[in-house]
Parts: sequence; C-alpha cells; structure tokens
Amino acid sequence: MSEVVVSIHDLVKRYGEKLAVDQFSLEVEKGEILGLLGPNGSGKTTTINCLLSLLHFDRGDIQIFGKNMKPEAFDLKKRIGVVMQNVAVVDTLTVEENIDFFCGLYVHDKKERKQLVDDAVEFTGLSEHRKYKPKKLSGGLLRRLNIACGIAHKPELIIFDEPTVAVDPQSRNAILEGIRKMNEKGATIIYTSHYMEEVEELCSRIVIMDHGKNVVAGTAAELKASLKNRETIHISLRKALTEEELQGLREINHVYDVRETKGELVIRCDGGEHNLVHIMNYLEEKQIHFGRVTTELPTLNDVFLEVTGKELRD
Amino acid sequence: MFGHVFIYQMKQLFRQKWSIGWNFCFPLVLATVFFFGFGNLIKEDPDVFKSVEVGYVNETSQEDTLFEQLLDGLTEVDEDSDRDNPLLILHEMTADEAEEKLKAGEISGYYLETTGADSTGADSTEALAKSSAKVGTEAFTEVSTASTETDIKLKITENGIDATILSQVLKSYQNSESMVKRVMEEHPENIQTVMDELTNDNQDFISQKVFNKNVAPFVNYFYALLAMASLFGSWMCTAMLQGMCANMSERGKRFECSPTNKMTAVFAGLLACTILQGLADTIVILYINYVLGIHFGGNLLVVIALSFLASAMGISCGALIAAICKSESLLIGVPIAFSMICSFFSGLMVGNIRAIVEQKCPFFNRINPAAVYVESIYRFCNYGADQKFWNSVIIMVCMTLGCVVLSSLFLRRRSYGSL
Amino acid sequence: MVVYKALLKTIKGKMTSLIIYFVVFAVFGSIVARQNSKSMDSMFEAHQVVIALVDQDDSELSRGIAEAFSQMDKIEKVKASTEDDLKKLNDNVRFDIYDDAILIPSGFEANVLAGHESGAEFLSKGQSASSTLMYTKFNTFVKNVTIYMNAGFSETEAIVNATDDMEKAEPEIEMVKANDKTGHSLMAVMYAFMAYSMMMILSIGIATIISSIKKKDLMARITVSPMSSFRQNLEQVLAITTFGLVVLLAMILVVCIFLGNEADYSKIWYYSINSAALMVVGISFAFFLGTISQDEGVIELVSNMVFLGMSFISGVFVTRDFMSESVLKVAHFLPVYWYVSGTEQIDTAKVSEIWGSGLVGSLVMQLLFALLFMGAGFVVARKKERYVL
Repeated sequence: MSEVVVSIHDLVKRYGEKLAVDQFSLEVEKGEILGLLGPNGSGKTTTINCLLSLLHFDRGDIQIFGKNMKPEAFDLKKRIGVVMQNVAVVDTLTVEENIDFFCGLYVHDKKERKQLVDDAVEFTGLSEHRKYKPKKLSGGLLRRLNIACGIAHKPELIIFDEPTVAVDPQSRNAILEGIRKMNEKGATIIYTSHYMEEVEELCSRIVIMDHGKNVVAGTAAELKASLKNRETIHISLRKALTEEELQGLREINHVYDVRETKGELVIRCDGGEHNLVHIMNYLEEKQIHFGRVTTELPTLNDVFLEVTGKELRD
Repeated sequence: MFGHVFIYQMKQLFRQKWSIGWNFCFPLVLATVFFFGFGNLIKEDPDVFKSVEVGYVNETSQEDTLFEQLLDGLTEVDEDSDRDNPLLILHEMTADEAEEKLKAGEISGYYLETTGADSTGADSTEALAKSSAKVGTEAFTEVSTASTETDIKLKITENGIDATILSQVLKSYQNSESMVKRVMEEHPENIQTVMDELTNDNQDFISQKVFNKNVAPFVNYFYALLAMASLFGSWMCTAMLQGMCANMSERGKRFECSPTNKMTAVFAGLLACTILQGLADTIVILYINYVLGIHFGGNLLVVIALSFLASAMGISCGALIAAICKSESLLIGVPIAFSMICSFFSGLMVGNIRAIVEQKCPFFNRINPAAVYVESIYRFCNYGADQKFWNSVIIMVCMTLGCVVLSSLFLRRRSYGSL
Repeated sequence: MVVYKALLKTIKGKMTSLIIYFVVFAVFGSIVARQNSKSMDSMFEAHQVVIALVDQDDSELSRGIAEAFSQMDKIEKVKASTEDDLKKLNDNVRFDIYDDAILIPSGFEANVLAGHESGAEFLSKGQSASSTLMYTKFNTFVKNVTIYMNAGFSETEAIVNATDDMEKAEPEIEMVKANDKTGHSLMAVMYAFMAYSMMMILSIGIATIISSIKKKDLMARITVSPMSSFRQNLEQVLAITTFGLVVLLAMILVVCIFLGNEADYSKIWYYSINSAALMVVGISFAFFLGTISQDEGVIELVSNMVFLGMSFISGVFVTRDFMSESVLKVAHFLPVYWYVSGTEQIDTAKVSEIWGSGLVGSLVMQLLFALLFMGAGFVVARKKERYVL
C-alpha cells in the first residue's frame, strides 16, 4: 500500500452560522494526482486553506507526511508547493526575480536556488520572458509564472487551485503537460478545477465535494460506472411517435428512460453494448422514419451534475 | 532569510512609482514651494522692527517746538540701546502733503501741531522748558525759552502697532507735561532735579533676554514638512505588509504558506522601509540646507539622525495601521489621513498651532508623532540637547517600540478565522 | 437617471478622504481667519499686546508696573522659576501665544531705587514692533516713578502719580480714510483659505467619478446599452456638477457655522460667486487629471502637490504681503491667485461698488483657466481613445 501523504479526517469549519466544511475526510497517496471537484461554495478552497494551515478549523485532524499540520510546521511547509487560484506575484519584480524571491523563502542556499530558478523558468517555458515584469505578460504566461513561483523549490506535495482559469488552450495544454511531468518525477498533486475534461484527463482519482461533504470518490471510470445512465441515444424524428410506440421502446432491454421533445427522441440506457442496434431494429420494424442518430457515453460532467444536482449554485 | 527578504523588499520599494513620488518628490516640491511662498520672510524677518514713517506739520508760530525737538531726538539711534534702528523716521511737510502721503500709505501717521486755544503767547512759564520722554534715544537739547502751549493731533488711517507707537510717543510727551506741572504744584523746589532727570537718557530699566540661537520662526514650517515626510513612510509600510499577510492579498497567502518566520520577515521589511524613508528624509534635509539655503540652526547630522528615528516611528505607525485595518481602501486612506492630520497639527499650515495645542491640550502634543518630532528638532536647534529634547527622543523611541510590539501581536498569527 | 446615481455612489468610497479635507478647512480655516483678520476701524484703538509677566520681586514697584500696563494691555501673570519654564515662556512668545514677556527678578525695586542695574529683562520675537512699544512704556513708567521719588514724592505717591499720568494722557487722534486699504476681514480670510480644501475635495471626488467612467469594461457596458450617448454624457455632467455644488454649499455652510455672528455677511453672495468660479476651475482640473490617470494614488499625489503649492504662493496660507514681487508675478499664472485676488477685491470694496472693483476680471480669469483645463482634458481623452481602440 502506498504511503499516505495527506490525511484529512472529519474536518469541520464554520463561518459563523454557516457550515462550510462538514466532516470532510480525504486521503491522498504518494504519487497520485487527486482531483477535488465541487460547485462554487462547496468548501474546496476552505478545505485547501485548512490543509495549508491558513485557516483554523473547528474540528478534525489534518496530517501531512504523517505529521500534524500546524502554522509553524516549517519542516512540512518546506515540502509543499502551492499554486493559488488568483495570480500571486509581485508586480514590481521581473519574472526571474519573482521566482527567485519565492523560492528563496524555501531554499536558502544561493547556488542551489539559482539552479532551481533556472529549472523552473525552463520548465514553465518562460525563458524568453525572464526580464519581463508581470504587467507585460499575457494571461497564459502570467499563469505559468504563478505556477513557477509555486513549484520552483521542487516540492513533494503540490496543490493547484484552479490553475488554468482564463487561460488559452495552448497554455492550458502546456500547464497540464507540466503537471504530468512533475507527477512523473514523484510529486503528489491535489488539483482543483471546474474543467471536467482536464480533471478526467489528468487525475488518477477524483473526489467530489458538495455542501462541505465528500459526496463521492473514485477513479473516473468508477465514477462513471456508478451512474445509472450508461449511454444516451439521440434520434431526430420526422413525425411524433404514438404512446404505444414510445412504450414499445421502453420495453427494449436496458432502456430505462424515453422522452420525446420537439422532434427529438432521447433514449437512456442503463447498460448493454448493442442498445443502438436494438433500437434501430425496433424503429424499422414499426416503420418509423428518423433522421440523424447520435450516441453519447457518460462523462464526468454527468457524474458531477448527478451527484451535486442540476441547480445552478452561487 | 532576513537578508533575502530585506533585499527584495528594498527592490520592491524602490520600484514603486508612487512611493518614489510621495516619499521623495512631494517633500522636495513642497520645500521649494515654501521657499518661494515665504520669500521675503527669508530675506527680511518681518519681526524685525522697522522704524515708523511719520510726518510732522508745524502750524504754530514757533519754528522749533519742544515736541518737534522731541521727535528729532527719536530719529536717532541710542548707542547703548539694543535697537539697531531709530524709533521714527520723521518727514516735515505741509498739511496737504501729509494728508496725501498718509492716504497713499507712505507714512503711518502724522502729527499736526497748532497753536493751542489757551495760549496767550506773552505769558511764559519755565515749566515746560525741558521735557522729553525717554525712549532709548539721545535726548534733545534743552530749550531755555519759555514755551507756548500747543495742541498736537495725531492722524492715522488704521489701527495697529505703528499707530499705537505714535500715540505712545505723544502720550509720553503729555506724561512729561503732567509730571512737570505736578512737581511745580507740589514740590517746586525740586523742579530742576526733575528737568535734569528728564533730559538724562542713560537709563535703561529693561533689556532684552536672548535665549535661543535666533533661528527664524518660519523655519518651523520646514520642521513640520520633515515630520510629514517621515510619516509618509506609514503607507509604504502598509503596502509592504499586504504582501506578507494571507488575509490581505494573494501574495500574502503564498508568503504564509512558506516555511519563513513571519516576524523575521516583517522586521526585514520594516528595516527596508525605514532605510528608504530615512534616505528620502536625508535628501530633503540636504536639499533644504544646501540648495534652498535654509539653515535648521543645529548640527545637520543630528537632524538627519532624528529624521531616521522619525522615519522608524512613521513606519511602525504604518505597521500598526496595517495590523488593525483590513480593507484595501482603508489601507490607503488611513495612513494618508494620519500623516496629514498629524502634520497639520505640528505646524504645516498654521505655524503656531503646536504652541496653541500646548496651551489648550498638551497631552495631544505628546501623542502626536509629528508634533513630538518637530519638538525634538526645534529644541535641539534652538536650545541644544536639553531635557525636553531628550524627553521627545524618548517618546519617539517608545512610540516606535510600542507600535512595533503591538503590531507584532496582531501580525504574528499565521492562521485566520476567514480569508 | 441610472448613470447619474451610479456615478454619485462611486464617491462613497472616498468619503474618508473628503471628510478629512473638510475638517482641515473647518478647523484650520477658522483659526487662520481669527489670527490673520484685521478690521477697517473708524476710531483709534490702541493695539493691545498680550504680555506675560513674571514677577519675582513682588514689590510695590513691580505691582505698580503690572497695574500700569494692565490699563492698556493684557497682562498674564505667570510663574517661571526654572530654566525650562523660561524656555517655555520664550516658546510662547515665539509662537505668538504672548506678544512679549517681562521678567522682573527679585531685588528689582531695591536696585532701581539704588540706581543700580534693575535686572529686568524681556523676551520677544527678535526686535519686534510690539517689543519696542513695550520697552518704551516700561522705561517711561519706571523712569517717571524714579523722577517723582527724586522730586520728593514717596514711592506710593510716585507710583500712583506715574500711573495717573499714563491714564490721563489722552492724545487727540483722528482716523483718516485711506485710498486703498486691504482689510482682511474674517470672512475674506476664511474664504481665501477655502481654496485648498475645496480644490482637493473636488479633485479627489471628481477624478474618482471620471476614472470610474473610463474603466474599459464599464464604458463598454454603458455604450452597448440603449441609452443614447447624449443622455449618458448629460448624466455624467450632471453628476459632476451636483457633486461640485454640494461641496460648495457645504463649505459655505461651514463658514457660516464657524464664524457665527463674528463676521459680516453683507458680502457673502459675492464671496460665494467667486468660490463658484473656483469650483468650476476645480471641476475642470479634476476632469483633466482623471483623463490622465485612473490610479487613485497618483491622483491624490498630483492633487496635493499642485494645490498645496498653488495655495502657498497665491496667498492662501501666507499673506501676499510677505511674498516677493517675482513670486507674485509667477502666481499670476495660477487660478488660485485670481481667486484670492477676487476675495480681496470683495473685501476692500463697498457693497455697492463690488462689481466695479475688478472682481469681474478675476472671475473671467478663473473661468479661462477652467476652459484651459477642460480643453486639455478633452485632447488627452481623445488621444487615449485613438490609441486604445
């Protein structure tokens, strides 16, 4: 069994009357990339801040590398890197100076630090922008600088709090690639994001939070498998179906939901591998004319929406 | 760690445009403006007594009346006196000329001497033969002929010190007349003694005590300017601390996640701010002294050392403000307000406000950092390093340490209730 | 009036700064007004000096001196036994709490009667006029006492006689109306002082409004709305004008409250018209500043530098009597100079002659400056638009 790097046990945090984190528990194993998902206000950032000892919490236990995490636990903080949601750099320092400054808070040896800074600049693709100040960087480059400042000291545990917000696709790919490389080199990563495809692509394990609780956890495949809906088939119709015909469709194996709206038939199946064939056969049999047919497999977004509810939260 | 944070704080501070603007340029601009605004005060001290320009119109039948002789005496400087210039500058003229010059403001007033209504002309008494008012000048020579009584009127355009001096001259003349009459009535045997003494100028019953080093009063404005400049360091400090506290900025969050002793870093930052502010103050002091040519009146090194202490005080006040205020607009507004209000009450706008406050509410002068600083420079430059100077220095040190200790209590925490 | 209301609300964020400048005006303005004002009198009134008296002799003669001086001046008896007390007294004289201080040492009477050095000293600001006056009176009185005593009168009689002589002496003094006298009434001084605070408040408040209008996203949002540009601009102008008028009225109210019944209100409308002209200058300068920079720190810095500087060399804080000709010539190029000139013209002239006193010229000059700043602001704004879009 892999070493547990982060252990959060029954964490409770209140802001006055509001319960932001409600007995939340989490374990992160060494070498994994854990995705922490949740709608706005679910308690993700609060949990991260408690983990980093920036916020004091009401109840619970947080351990990192097997030790209790405290504000003055400098030996633990040395091994942690943080990439904030908002860009946290110094406007009056150049790219190189920013990285050097923040790295210097972790690494005191000048020679060692110089090498680390150079590596970080190289790693994040900022070599051509060393002497630029943050004002002169584009959004994507600024995010890369933000990352560089957080990982320059080569930490063992890195926490990314929505690092690709407002970033163009090219920069986003570069960032994700970088994160993968860090993980390959041995870093354990906690990654929060609203972009499902990123999380699905990157994370080995996913935890979904809502109302301060751990709602569901598992790999992407496990989470999708937990959904009732395994396949959704869309068929465009020329004319509306009768109730009898709809009922007939419902009786097909694995079909659990059939709806027709505005000339489109939506059929949901809870399993099976040849659902489309059976449905096509039925339509042909009944001589029902149809147009375009598309089929969708469930995504993480579906998992997210199903476990957290479809309402739009703040 | 200390060195690393210190160096980077210095870099950040030097590159902040507004800190260079406020802390370096603004005091220089204001000093220059003061210099031009006070202009003549620097060349000619308005408190130096200027002889009163006065006219004299003689419409009596006498050519040289007693009163005119008295006035002539007052146009000369007594060698033994402390005065550098005579009391009066006398212009003899006709009545029309006098009226014209008076209305035009060329003279402060004029005396019109006419033959008195009761004068008989033929009657003579020796009583008013020699009269003078001793006003610190050489007396006129005695006139032995009997005088005729005359009426003397003083004409002026406005009340003020010059008018009062002119009226006082006339009063002194009338005093002497009354005295002689009284002695003539009650002790006529001693009238000669009285005459002799009236003509004796060699007695000063009071002399001026010069206390300080004659530093011109307007220099106080420049002391207040230095105080304001030092207190400007307070918002340099609030900006610096924003980058170290998680509840103030994202940079602060990143900083607090790091394995850095926060108080070490804060002190490094405070030192950087103090050095920068002290440097700014030093430049202002040197500019005022060497470029504008205004001398503070004391050893420049001591003045510079005091400014460094005042800078430390301003910075530490900023630290306390940052420890208490959380909102961004307050972090800009409160230090500015604090600096300006304290500076105004140390004499930046109304030169003697500090003295007025000292009369009405001296406690306020002890807790106003700008006033304490101005007091220390003022004492040193005017009286030397006396007890009150050291009291002011001690107060500044205590304020600095007190603010640092108090702000440390707030700032040292690394964990918050909310962010 | 959505834009109008929204813009006025943006000023709320600067309330702290604005209130501070108001308080500065109220407190310091009334102090300066009371200190620097002098009235045009029709009758002679002897200039009353405030003299601190330290009497360590407590003799008949020293008490007689106090009595004689108190007829004409204000005497405050103080104790000063230590060096520090004397320094404090000296400071009070330097900073105009007292005009002079007289120090009568122990043994003064005995020394005077014996014909020795009396030991009495006075403290004053250099060789000031008030010290000359005080010196003259002191010597006259003590000399008269000694002369009376030498003439055969007793000490008590001598003091009474000398005091009586001083009291009885009533020279005939006539006040003549001068050609051109500057009065510096309470109202004039306080209105002059208004210049700095009003300009600062207008500058900060209006620059805040304008810089919020200029924010790119906000501008875009307003532009795509169905509100016509004419309406948008009109509401912006209305918001700015409303703020300016509120500030002006508030300051006039402050003048009335702090001067109370002491001041003469017959010319208040004229002073207010002059201030309204300065308000227009303040608005246009703020507009110019707001187009150059949207940074609050820069706005406050530039405003302070410009207005404090202007105020010092235009005669707001330091009267023009003390300024050199060359400085005053340069000050002609500043709007605040013309405002202060307007204040003086109103103060000096009779109510019926105010419009002919040169006030119109001062108002025109201020409005010209306002046009200049407005024009400069438009040019800058235009150039910025061209390059940004």
